Amino acid sequence: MTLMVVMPLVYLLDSSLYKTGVTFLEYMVGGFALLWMIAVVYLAYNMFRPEEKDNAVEYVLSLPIAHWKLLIWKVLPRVGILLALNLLISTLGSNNLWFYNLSGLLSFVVFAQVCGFTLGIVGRKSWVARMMLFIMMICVFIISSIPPELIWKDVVNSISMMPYLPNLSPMLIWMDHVRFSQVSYVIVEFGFLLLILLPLYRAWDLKQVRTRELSFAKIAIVPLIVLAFPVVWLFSS
Amino acid sequence: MIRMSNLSFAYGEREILKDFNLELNAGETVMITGPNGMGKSTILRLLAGVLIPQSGEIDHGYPKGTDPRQKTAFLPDSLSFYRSMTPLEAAKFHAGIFGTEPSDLELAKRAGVDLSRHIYELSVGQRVLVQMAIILSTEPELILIDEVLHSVDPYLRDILFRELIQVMEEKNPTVVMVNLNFHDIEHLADRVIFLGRDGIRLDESVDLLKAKTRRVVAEEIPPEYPVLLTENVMGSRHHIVYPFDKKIGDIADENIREMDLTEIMTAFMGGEYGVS
Amino acid sequence: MYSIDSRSAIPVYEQLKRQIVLSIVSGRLDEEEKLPSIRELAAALRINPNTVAKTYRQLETDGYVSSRKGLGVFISAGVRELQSNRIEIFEELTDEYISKAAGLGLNADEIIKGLAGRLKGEIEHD
Repeated sequence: MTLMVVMPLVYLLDSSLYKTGVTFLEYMVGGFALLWMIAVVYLAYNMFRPEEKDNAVEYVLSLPIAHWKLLIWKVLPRVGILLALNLLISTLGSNNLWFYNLSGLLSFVVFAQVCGFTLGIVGRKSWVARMMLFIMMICVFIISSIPPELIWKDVVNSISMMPYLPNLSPMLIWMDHVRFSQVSYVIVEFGFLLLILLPLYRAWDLKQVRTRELSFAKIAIVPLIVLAFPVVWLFSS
Repeated sequence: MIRMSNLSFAYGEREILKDFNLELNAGETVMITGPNGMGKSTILRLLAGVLIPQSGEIDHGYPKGTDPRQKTAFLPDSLSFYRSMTPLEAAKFHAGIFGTEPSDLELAKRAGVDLSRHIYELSVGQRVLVQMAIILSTEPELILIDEVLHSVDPYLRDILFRELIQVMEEKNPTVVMVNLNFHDIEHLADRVIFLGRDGIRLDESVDLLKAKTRRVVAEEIPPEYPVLLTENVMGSRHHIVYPFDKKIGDIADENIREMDLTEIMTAFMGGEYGVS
Repeated sequence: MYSIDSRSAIPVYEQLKRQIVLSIVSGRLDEEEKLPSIRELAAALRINPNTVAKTYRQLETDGYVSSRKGLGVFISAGVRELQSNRIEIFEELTDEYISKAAGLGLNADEIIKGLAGRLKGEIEHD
């Protein structure tokens, strides 16, 4: 909220912005673009903050609602709001906010929500959590600037070039042939969502922050490594 | 019948329960007690479905696929609730989730609770009553009450127990209470379970426990008596004997005394702290 | 009216039963009088309603009370007249008294003498 006040002031005060011809609207929208990306992760990170503030975590867990339903009910409205905001901002100006296509946008939002949420359940007060949040945000930001098709093709390519691993080129051909449609990326992203969330939902309970971090580290390490793949290959290519 | 089999639960590195087994009969009123940190609240939380055991399982006796929490009422010692809600809102919310009628909060009204105030504004005793009223309104078959009654004044406790007894008489639920104050519920509980360092140290019906425990006042007592605890009381030596079968040796009848539950449990607690 | 002795090793339902029988036989409770509902009695004494139910069932089996559906539990007619009840309870009370008196170190003669003396006083007082 403070940013909303600060940003106009900065615009007014920083003369270099005038000179390069950046309009106020462009500037504000650009700022919000960054803010939006951060918000995507942050909202997920704080998904259960209202319950924590209200001392309602134990109560909610004792209600006859399956954990996954609980999570979906939290995630869906957030995704909806974020998409709506994104649409609003895109219509106002900045191009690079509206992703390559709807599926790209959705995958980004979902992925970022997953990252945020998994961090949220680890805990908020420790330095480990804060650092991981920061790193995740950077990863999310980077990944958001890559067309999804490229990531997957890259991954599949690199795997098939490794010795001793199965030859995945048929899969590449299939991806081309089928024009690995946009929707499938969304499906894959949701797949990852489940991959991380399902084993992790057990970690979201009453355990102390420290023990949750340990459980998180033990369970999530594999899916996270898999997700880190695109980032790693991006830097190496 | 609720069956807990081979349960293991640890808070991270700290193992609380290991290979824990317990059977609760339907309609039973059970009191779980013991020193702090032995796992009493953990057992309640596992029964409530709030914690998921690392190994083992809990069978509530419901058909596969039904959520046992639908028929469970849980009053945690954290008094966890949406405390920014008012009692009326909370009652409505709770009823909505369970699909039952919202509580009329009679119990809270009798405690003089202003139903338009937020829950965080209420005193602890009032909060307990509000939560109790709300969780009982879903017609539960299993009622779990953690150690919340200690901070409730005797008058409020009285109305609370009246309400609980009413529900017990109407619906005959299984009631499990974690309590360190025995005077309150010693005639309410059918069965008492004492959880010590090495697991369940005692699991007995209250009647049998009282029948099998005696305070023997004597300087020396025959070694055949299984003594739980010995202490010096006003110059004489008291030995708490459990299980007491029949009189051995030459001790006057008046020196073999019956005990109330508080005395018996104190002796058991003493055993846990290494006094003997 | 009724109280449960927490110290006693006698089960709660047994204690309650004895007290109710005593009330009936001594005339404190009239015939056809309604006993408190299970809920009321359990709440008043803070005992398990199942215990009260068990007590009432036992009383019914022994013939002291009868339950009328929907109305409650009532004391049976003609119960007070049952000599056997009176005698049984009197014997129990007397045994208790004798063991306590003997605990004071009195012998049989002293007990009888003392008892006779007190009785005379009580009766004259009435």
